[in-house]
Amino acid sequence: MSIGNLAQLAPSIQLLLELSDDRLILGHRLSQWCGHGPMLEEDIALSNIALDLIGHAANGLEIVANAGSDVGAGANSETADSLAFLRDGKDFRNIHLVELPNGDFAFTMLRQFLFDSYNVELLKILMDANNHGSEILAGWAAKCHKEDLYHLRHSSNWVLRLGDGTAVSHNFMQEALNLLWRYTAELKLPSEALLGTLGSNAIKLESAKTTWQKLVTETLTQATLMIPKDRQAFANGGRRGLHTEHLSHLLSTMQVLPRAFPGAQW
Amino acid sequence: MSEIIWEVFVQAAGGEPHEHAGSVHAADKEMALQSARDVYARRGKIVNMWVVKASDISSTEPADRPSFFEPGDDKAYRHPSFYAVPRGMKGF
Repeated sequence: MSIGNLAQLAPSIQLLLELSDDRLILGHRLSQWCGHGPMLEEDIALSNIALDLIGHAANGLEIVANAGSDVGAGANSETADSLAFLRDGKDFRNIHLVELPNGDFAFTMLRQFLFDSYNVELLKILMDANNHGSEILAGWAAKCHKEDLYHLRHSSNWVLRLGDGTAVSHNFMQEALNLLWRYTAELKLPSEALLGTLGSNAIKLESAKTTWQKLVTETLTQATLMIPKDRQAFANGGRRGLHTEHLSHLLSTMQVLPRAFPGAQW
Repeated sequence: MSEIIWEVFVQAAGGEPHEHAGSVHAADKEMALQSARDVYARRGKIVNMWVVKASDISSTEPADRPSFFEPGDDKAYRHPSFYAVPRGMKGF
């Protein structure tokens, strides 16, 4: 499926591609913790969340693939698998935040907290079909929202405990915040697809952003962390296929098997 | 992080007893619930969960067994086995 053909898809389907790509890439990142978690319980928790996110992506990409076949967007009909494993980096629509390498545990958890907290608010808007007229998108969003609520509980608990923990854990968390904060600009930036999907209801994104800002500020303050004032966003091309180098490296690992052995089964 | 062991009890349906599922390591009760959820509830069929600090559980010692439990073994008249259980009664 080429980018040109994607433009023929309804905005709500393009939005599903963007949000599914976020979850596929973040899910893959979390899966890289499997066997490396700081303790057995957390190792299982991270793998559970990875599986949740990859499941959301699989559902979303399947909807996108079916919609693509309907408008003849691909010579061969696309599937969720082909979209995940045979697409090149420039055709991925995820934000930069999710493709960054995992860093340390504090970095992974803070990234998760920022992602979860904003997505819980965004999905609240999308799970109401009255806001955009797509029952399919609303259904997908509702399933994601339910699981994201737990992810948020998990990630915010870690942010609080590491931020307000020992001097060492605090420093790891503060350093993670210094590195990650600039990526939240793109997280909150509405894409063309999101604006097109919501139409006049796009105004609701403003209250979502306000709620997010309040929750994040409260949590980070309680965690005794300081939001950096001098770390401003410098790039935001993820939704247009402009990525950091990290995505290519991630895809080379994630896609190597289906590309080397097309149609492999086990 | 100070590691505390928590015993995990899970309930399969409303009204059922909470049954011991295993244990987790966690620094506090909220994290213990979270770990317990991830370790013991990931395959479904659970409606409620308790976590209890293992150190807060009072337990008998193996040495207590003769004086604690064995006296009941040979007093069959105390066993509730002489009553006909009404038909349809389960979980008795």
